[in-house]
Amino acid sequence: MKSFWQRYARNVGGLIGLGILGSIVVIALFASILFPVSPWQMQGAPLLYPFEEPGFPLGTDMLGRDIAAGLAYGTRVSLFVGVVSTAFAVLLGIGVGACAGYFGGWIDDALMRVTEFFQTIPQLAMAIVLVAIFTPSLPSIVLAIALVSWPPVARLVRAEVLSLREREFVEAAIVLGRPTHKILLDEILPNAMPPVIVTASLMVATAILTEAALSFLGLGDKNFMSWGFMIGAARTMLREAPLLTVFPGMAILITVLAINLAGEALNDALNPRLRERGQ
Amino acid sequence: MNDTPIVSIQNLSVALPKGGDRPYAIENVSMTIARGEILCVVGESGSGKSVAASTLMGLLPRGLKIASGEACVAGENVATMTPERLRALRGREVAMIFQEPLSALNPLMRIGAQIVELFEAHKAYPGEAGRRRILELFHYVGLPDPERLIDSYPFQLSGGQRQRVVIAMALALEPKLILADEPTTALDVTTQAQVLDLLRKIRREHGTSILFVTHDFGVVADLADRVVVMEKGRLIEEGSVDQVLTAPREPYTKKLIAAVPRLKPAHLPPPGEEIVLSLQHVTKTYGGSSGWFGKARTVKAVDNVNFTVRRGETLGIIGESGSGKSTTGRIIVRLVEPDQGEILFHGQDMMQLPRETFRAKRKALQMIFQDPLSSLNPRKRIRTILTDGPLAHGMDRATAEARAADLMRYVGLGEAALDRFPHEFSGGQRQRIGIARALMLDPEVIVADEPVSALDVSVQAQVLDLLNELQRRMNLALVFITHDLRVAAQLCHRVAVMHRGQIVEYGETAAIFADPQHPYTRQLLAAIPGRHLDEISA
Repeated sequence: MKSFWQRYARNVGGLIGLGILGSIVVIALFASILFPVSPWQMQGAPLLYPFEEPGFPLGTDMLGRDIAAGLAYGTRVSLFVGVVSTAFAVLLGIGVGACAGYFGGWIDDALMRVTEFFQTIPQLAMAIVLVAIFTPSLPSIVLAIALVSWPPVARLVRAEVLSLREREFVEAAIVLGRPTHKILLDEILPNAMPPVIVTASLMVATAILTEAALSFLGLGDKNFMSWGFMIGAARTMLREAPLLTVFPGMAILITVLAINLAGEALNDALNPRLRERGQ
Repeated sequence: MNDTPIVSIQNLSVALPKGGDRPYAIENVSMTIARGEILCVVGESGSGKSVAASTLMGLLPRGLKIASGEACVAGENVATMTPERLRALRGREVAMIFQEPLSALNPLMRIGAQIVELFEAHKAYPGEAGRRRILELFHYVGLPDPERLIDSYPFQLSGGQRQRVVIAMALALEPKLILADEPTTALDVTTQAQVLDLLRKIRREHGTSILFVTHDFGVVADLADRVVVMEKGRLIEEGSVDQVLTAPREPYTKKLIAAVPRLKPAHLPPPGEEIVLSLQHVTKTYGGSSGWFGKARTVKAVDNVNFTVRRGETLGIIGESGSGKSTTGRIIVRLVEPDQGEILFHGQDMMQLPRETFRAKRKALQMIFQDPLSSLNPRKRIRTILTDGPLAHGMDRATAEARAADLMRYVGLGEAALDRFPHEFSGGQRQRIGIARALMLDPEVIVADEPVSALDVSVQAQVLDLLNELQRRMNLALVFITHDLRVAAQLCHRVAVMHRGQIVEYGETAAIFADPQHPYTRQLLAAIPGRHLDEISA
């Protein structure tokens, strides 16, 4: 474990990414303490510039809502959707990929055809359709994003399992008489995890972007302030008050960048040999 | 010509990157090779035996640097050469033969074109002359049908043919020196014997000097004029082949030579009478489904194999790569399902049992694998690796852990090893763990698939001793799969010689070694390197 952190710490970008992510998580956790008033509440004059009036460090929008509060509460939605939908997608992907890779034959064929079916449809288009069918709400957004993003995980896990099951330690487990589910869960999957963890970290970033896109299109959960909604609402004022879209846009950019930096460092730390080869 | 030695290495030290287990890959090494001489560099893994050859070619692995001393080819120091001079040297004056002929050839290029590239780089044999030269070379190294091979791809050739192509490539510009790094290790014994013959012929007819790196004293005995023995980066003994083999000075050299298994079959205690395992008419065919285009290619990996193993007996299954010996071993523990035939364990046909019922029987049929690293799960501690099996068969944890501790002591690793991970052990230690794992279930039959072929010879001897002792003590029926007839002679009561899926000869080890009946067995026995070595020690 120690050597893992040593390898991770060698990547400066990774440390920066992790630092930013840490602060974002803190903001999300303490949003209601930092901004006790609901972000939907009209609190000041509309369209204040940043620092024009004390109490509104980033100004207000066209209805006089605090932009800083909106960003802080939006962090919650973005992180929640990113993490939870990725968790579902990874679980589904591992299940499908592991079964396809280990059992092979017709099971593999059937599962891979389904995976390909999902992969051929553009992710965002399908997410829009799914949310529209389920009616927009936080659970339906999470579900939709999970359903469109599991196929790459399934393919990755399948490839890992295919190569791992030929390894001698797996054959040894068969010869020892361990039951099939133990061989799959205890011998094969732990060894297939490093690339999955890396992929998952990058999927969180994609999920945040997808959620923002859905909210922008008006398919977000109306009970929660989100970055995508803020951009969508400010769209009509783009020329008069560009900062209304710039701030949430920056929030998305910084979060996704931080996650990518951290994910890349994770990749280097988990696959040290790949990195050495690249140097 | 002249009298300057073709190779002169003086006080050469090559530094390893910082943080390794020792500061130098080779330290203060001096050696010379006269024109037309074959020098063998012998050592175990990690002895630095390949480093001298890489230095002479200017091909030191990344991270290694010449710290002091010089390495001269024909009087010219490689360390101070410009990259242009080094390129001119490679191929034209010094050529290299690698261990793995498949990875030494470009898989996407026709073989002829790869040699033409060499000619173009050195501006030799332009146009048609190049093709004529290649045909001449292929003919010289004994490749069949050169006209066809010149336009083939590497994958269309056998391992031995590929190595001949690599040798032909090395010879193409008539270099003065050939560096050969374990060139026969990946080859079967019969092919190895032919390649060694070819190298001797090249030296005889062209006066080429050869630096031959190897771990195998048998090969040394057959090929070398002079021998250099390396240990942990130091050159510890040097001399003519007769002197080093018959009267080694250093204890380490003595140990290495003594560790080479003798060909004379060992006296083993007689096995029991009771037949534990019996294979009858076992057949396995690979391939079959034809796809949409073309017809199916099938290979009979195992073809009507019959044998029996008694309690306390070791049966050797001997064969070269592709002979079906490993498939046979895997069929016994049902890692591979045979197409036909019976596997009788105490008279009961295991193939008739449904998979779940058979899983309970697996306790009695265990396996030891070839590669001690990949056969241990890298993420588990030894304790878990050893106890997983018994727990699956319903043993309680306390008993399983006590047994694991006992077995660790028994295989000579001690209880402390239980809390460590596989990568913390050496190859020989890992194989001991593999053996302990097989013993955890108290089996009656153990299939050992080339269990010592990945190990150095001194370690190999210890592991073989352990197997021998354990088999006696536990009265095991042992099926020992190997390509190495020397190992078989020391361990097996009876042997079955496999060739292209069939058992061509089957009987008492001593009888077969003394009077082989089948031509293939004779060919195998004749190809064993270093028969000379046995005459010396006898």
